[in-house]
Amino acid sequence: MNLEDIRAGKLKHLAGADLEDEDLSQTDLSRTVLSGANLVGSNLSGACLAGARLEGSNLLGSNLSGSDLRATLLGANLMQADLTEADLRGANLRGANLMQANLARSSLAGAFLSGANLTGGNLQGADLRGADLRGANLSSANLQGANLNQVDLQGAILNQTNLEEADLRDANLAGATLAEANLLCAELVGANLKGTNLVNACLTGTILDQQQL
Amino acid sequence: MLQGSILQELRDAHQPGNPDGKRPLNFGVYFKNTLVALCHALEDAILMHDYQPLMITAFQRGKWYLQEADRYGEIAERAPQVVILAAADTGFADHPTSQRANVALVSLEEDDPVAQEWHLIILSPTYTAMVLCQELSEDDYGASGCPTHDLERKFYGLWTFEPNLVLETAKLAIAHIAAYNPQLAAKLTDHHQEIAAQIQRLDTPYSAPTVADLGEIVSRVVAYLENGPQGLESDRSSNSLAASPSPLSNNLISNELQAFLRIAQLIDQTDLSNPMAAAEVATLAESLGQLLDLPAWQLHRLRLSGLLHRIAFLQDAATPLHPSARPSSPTAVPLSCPLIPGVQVLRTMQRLKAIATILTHQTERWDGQGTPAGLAGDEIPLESRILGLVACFQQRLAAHRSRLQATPDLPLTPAATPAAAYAAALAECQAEQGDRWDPKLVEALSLLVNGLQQGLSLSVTPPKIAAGLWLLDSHSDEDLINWGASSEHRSLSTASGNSGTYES
Repeated sequence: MNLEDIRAGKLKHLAGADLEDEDLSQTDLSRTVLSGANLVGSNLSGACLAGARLEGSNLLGSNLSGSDLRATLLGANLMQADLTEADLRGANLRGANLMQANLARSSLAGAFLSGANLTGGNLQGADLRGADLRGANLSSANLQGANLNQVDLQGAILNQTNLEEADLRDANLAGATLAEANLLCAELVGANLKGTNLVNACLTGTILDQQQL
Repeated sequence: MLQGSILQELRDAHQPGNPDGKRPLNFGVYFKNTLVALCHALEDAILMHDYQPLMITAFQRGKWYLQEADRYGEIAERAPQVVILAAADTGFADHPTSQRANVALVSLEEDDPVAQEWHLIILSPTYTAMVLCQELSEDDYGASGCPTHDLERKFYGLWTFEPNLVLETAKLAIAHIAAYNPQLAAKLTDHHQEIAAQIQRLDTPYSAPTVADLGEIVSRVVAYLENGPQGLESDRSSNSLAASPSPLSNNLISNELQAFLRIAQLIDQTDLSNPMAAAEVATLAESLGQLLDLPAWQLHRLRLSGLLHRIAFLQDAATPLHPSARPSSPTAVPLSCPLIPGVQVLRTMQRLKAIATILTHQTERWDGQGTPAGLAGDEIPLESRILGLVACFQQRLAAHRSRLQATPDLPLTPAATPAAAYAAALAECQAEQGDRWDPKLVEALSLLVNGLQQGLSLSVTPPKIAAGLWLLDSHSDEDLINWGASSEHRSLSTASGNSGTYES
């Protein structure tokens, strides 16, 4: 497998390829098949992976900052990956492992994250408008100032999650668990709080309709 | 939230869905140094102008007042009435400022919830501003515990220039003062009514006396948040968003952005014919960007530009603290483009450089006959072209909608429906394509309008003002135009990947 050919965008079928620690920054990998590939520790910063297939790939600790990841990442391992300012709009991240990943200021609008593990992740200032996070685990994640407008968090776990100043207007939090979560000055107008567990959550300065609680 | 506090009373009056139709408040979190910088900037406006305000301040403890007492002495020379509320500390009443005839001290009981608040209420016919906060309780700090460093103390609440909200809060504060000093409260009520009458003499329910000097005041707010006022140590630990700034630094940046979003909010509130312009333009611009398959960072820039676009039309927006506004030296490089006063206010915040450029060139024309630089075709930054078109379309749409609303008895014919308003506004833009607008963008707008006419719904929500940081990223301070190139070969910077073109 020639790395130069990959960088030149000549190889589009890389399923199961071993690209551990390789530098593929700024590379055009759009519509490339990388299913099950080993990309541990790789540098994909600024790469274009739009339309790529990365299901089951291992991106542990990889650098994907500023990349275009509007791709299929079903069940991918993105643990501790750097996804700062990555474009993940509409990406399929169902069941992905994003534990301790850095998603600060990333764009996840309309992304599919149901069942994903985002425990301890940094999502400060992330754009999650309309994302599907049903059943996702966001415990101890930092979502300070994130935009969660119209997000679906039904049944999600947000224990000890930092949601300070987050915009949760019209979000669906039915059946979600937010024990000890920090919702200081979060906005919850129009949010569905049916069956939501808010035990010991900080609700100081939150804005919500009177009939919501 | 402490029961009986002014913040709580104000929040309760603004609960979502309340029968008075009052807009719900938008609370934010503030570190102590953010509040100090904010208050100094808002107070300094009193020292620079002849506003003659009524000023009500709550300091928590008398010792905090004593730290500012000399400064308050200067303010008292400009303000006919200053009221200081604080739990009394030794020396509270002895300072020379406290002895002035127009300075009234109110010693709060130790268990008064207002003694846990931080207020600054400035009320005059031509300048209204307010900071209203409460310190976090031990429980609010949660597992992290109370901060050990004074600067890390956190408060929550709001700050604003909105005259109606400041008038309402001042009334609550005066009612609270009445329990301590009924005579003073009666005097303040008269003063309040006098000012309210002058403000409400202006012709809109959201009269905005502050707008005249708002550019200058906001420039000062941003400068103080960025650098700290004289004598206040700045805690800015990082200038790069990419480099994980500290929470304190983030809080300062967030409030700089808030200052601009608050101007935009005020501009919209004072325009009863088009009060949702900012939110609508932001949504339309972002949607058009999505149709053009622009990257996420460019969509965020478009949204923020849309939210702030009307600031460019602020007139006489002096920016006394910004270097670019100072008289140029003999060796200064001539300007490539005339300065737009409103945009100069935005330039006080370095991170909004790209947004300022987008707003500057939103009035260019595709045929090169526009202002301020006479750029033509692809020379005009793409986001400026989108913003200019969308803002004009939205304005026309609002005008058509107003006409429809003004004639409610009109039979519901196809010509009198909201869909007809879309069609009419679009037709006016289409008539100008190739001259004023980029034809490909008009084409994309037509697609969007088609979708809207067929039931596509766009979510138009005003921004959560205290949480705009998600709109700023490492692309926000880029140069969009390479003015170094000759006029024949002016080109857009490619450093950001913004080629000025798009795939249609």
